[in-house]
Amino acid sequence: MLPSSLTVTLAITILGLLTVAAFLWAWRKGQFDRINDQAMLAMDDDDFNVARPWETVAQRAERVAAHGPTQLPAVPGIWGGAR
Amino acid sequence: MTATLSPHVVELTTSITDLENLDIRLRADASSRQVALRAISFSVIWLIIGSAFGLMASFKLHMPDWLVSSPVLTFGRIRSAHLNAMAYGWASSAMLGVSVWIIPRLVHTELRVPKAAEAGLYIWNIGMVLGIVGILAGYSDGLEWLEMPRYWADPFFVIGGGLVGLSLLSTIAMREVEHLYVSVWYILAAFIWFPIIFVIGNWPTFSGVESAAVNWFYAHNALGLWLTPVCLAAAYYFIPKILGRPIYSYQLSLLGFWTLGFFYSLNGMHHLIGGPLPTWMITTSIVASGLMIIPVMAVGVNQHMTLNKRFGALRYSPTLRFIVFGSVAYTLVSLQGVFMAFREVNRLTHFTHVTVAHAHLGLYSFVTMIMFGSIYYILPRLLGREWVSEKLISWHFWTVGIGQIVYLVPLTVAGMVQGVAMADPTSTWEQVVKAMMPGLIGRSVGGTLLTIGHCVFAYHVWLMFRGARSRQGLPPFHEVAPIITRRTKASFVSGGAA
Amino acid sequence: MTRIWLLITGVLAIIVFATSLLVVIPNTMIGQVRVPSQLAPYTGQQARGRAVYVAQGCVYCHSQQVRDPVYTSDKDRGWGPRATVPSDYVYDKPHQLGTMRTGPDLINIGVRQPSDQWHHTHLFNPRSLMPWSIMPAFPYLYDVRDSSSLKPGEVFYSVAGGKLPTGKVIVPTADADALVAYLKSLKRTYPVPTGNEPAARSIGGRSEQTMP
Repeated sequence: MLPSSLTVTLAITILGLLTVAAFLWAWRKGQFDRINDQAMLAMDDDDFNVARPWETVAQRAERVAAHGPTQLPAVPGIWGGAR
Repeated sequence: MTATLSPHVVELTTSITDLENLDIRLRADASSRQVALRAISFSVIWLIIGSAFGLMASFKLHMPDWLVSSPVLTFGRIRSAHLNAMAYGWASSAMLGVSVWIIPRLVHTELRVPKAAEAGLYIWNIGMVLGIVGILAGYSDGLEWLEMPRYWADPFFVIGGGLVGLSLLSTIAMREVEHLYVSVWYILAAFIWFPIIFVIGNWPTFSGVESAAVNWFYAHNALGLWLTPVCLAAAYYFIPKILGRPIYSYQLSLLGFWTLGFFYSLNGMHHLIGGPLPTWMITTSIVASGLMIIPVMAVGVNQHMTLNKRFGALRYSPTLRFIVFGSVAYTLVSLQGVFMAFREVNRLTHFTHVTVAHAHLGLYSFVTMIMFGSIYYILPRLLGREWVSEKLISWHFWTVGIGQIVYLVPLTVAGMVQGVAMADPTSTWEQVVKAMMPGLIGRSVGGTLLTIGHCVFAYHVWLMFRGARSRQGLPPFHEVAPIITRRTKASFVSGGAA
Repeated sequence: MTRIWLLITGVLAIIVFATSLLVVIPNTMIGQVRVPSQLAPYTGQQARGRAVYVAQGCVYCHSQQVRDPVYTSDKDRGWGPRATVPSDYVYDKPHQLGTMRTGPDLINIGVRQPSDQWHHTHLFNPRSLMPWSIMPAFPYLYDVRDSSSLKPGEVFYSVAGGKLPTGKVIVPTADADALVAYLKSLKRTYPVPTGNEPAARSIGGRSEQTMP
């Protein structure tokens, strides 16, 4: 263990400042730009083209308008976009 | 084939076109298949073993002369065998499986060094066996959450978890997407945090109150920096995917991530409120516990808003149903935790069964339910066949759902009565014990229901592995498949294939 | 976010900060605690008894701490004359502070129950003394013998409450004797050490040579 709390305090302060610097660097590099687009990372394109039985007519129309028409598995038993 | 659609489905349908996108998932799943399947089977075995220990411990508290002739079966050993089998055997094995399955999907590449991940999984589970045997044989380390023998069980967890983490890190490093989704953050962070806190928690030089501080530093972080992040990662992946809409606010999820790490890691000392520790340590933890409102509300609001106006979905997807149950429990248990950390509340609830109920609201209603939901999604995709029976899923959900209420409500109420009785110095200990009895018996009833649910689930998983086909003749279901619903609805999304 | 190293740095910074605050700094501070002169280290038998206590998992129902009397009733319940302090635990490894009171606190059980007879019959079967008790029985810590088979000088106890057939007595095993010796040693009734007693020694990393 480190010999005294003063050392530790200094180490934490330096570490904290480094973290802040890293955050600012990332900010300036634009890593946080258009951040809500990154929410799409979890989605696969065909996730939007599957009919969902709980959708209201309006919700379905909205989805189709944004992402194109609903697809169905071509053959039963083949998973298609349902994977 | 021609799909028979409900009359209100008016838009045109086309056949599957996006093969490239599908291919990514097929490659990802194929690479993680073996590790994930083994992890899930190990986890289910631990679930059953842990349930047996838990049930036995629960009955022992109101049948104190039951199974007392052998030290192996004494309450104190069975109880910690239960905790370790559940937290490190069931939940952690399932989390290893979920992590190696999700990460390749999210970074659009195959799982790298899958052999390391598989070896890690085996090593982890060997550690589990040694740890449980050690506890039952009386070689507990004597620290809650760290009972498994320090030198001949614990290294397996550091090496095993480290190997799986290495495989995940290599996968992320070789990713074919630019940005990292928030679930990747949570999982990567958890696999970095766990070995560090586990080594600190097991560090052998501490004694006295320092040993207590390190103990609870670890034990709270085991929940906050290991179990919670992986489960939140699963929720952040499955909820948007099943609903077909991205999470409500990505900024909020990032705020939630950093505040979770920063505040949760300082929470541990609230398990020692009033204890013989420097007050500043405990106060730090109380303040950090209060600040937990920020990450919790970030997650809660985000997931609620994603689900908003689509609550009907809960009737269809078992995965969504279990995971939303878990997410709601996360919000509840965290807010309860905030209040229980205040000194005014804690002076009554500390040392009572309220704490046990609280722990189960976290470890069961949150962690376990999210893992159930994840397995319901992952297993059919890895095995290429639909769950065998809607009925079994339904039975599983309702037994564990009702079981939790029967478990938690009486135990919480009895714990409060216990706390009030203990706070009154004129009440005898006999009165205190009698105050907690209804809760202890309620817990045994609830625990029995949970165990029945686990057996149903394990049987269903076994049927799946054995290759049983769905009795409904439906095509393999996906995130919108109408399990747990009326059959009239069932014929709808499956495209009339039945 | 596109950089893994940034994420890893942040994640490590969090855990280093938390560890420094709650593990490293307390280690340097609590390390200064003085050993109270009235607190003796555990004898060999007491240490063995403590190991038995740990192995049976007594901590899951029994705490070992008296909280501040200002806002708890721990003192008024008779569990100790004062709140316990860090120096009361200098010899405890692992700590057994506990987080549950299905049974009463034990940090001063040696003061409350000084009797071997009480401890042994209670451990053999708690319901022999208190029919409402839900503490597990520990019959495996005892040999049940015919009273006629006892050798001269052998220590034995009879058990009340109809928990043994007539003519039978219990003879404690070495583990049981050690456990009772440990329980009887649990006494933290001396005044709070001020750190100025002549016998006070510092413990912790920097002066380990003074540890007994």
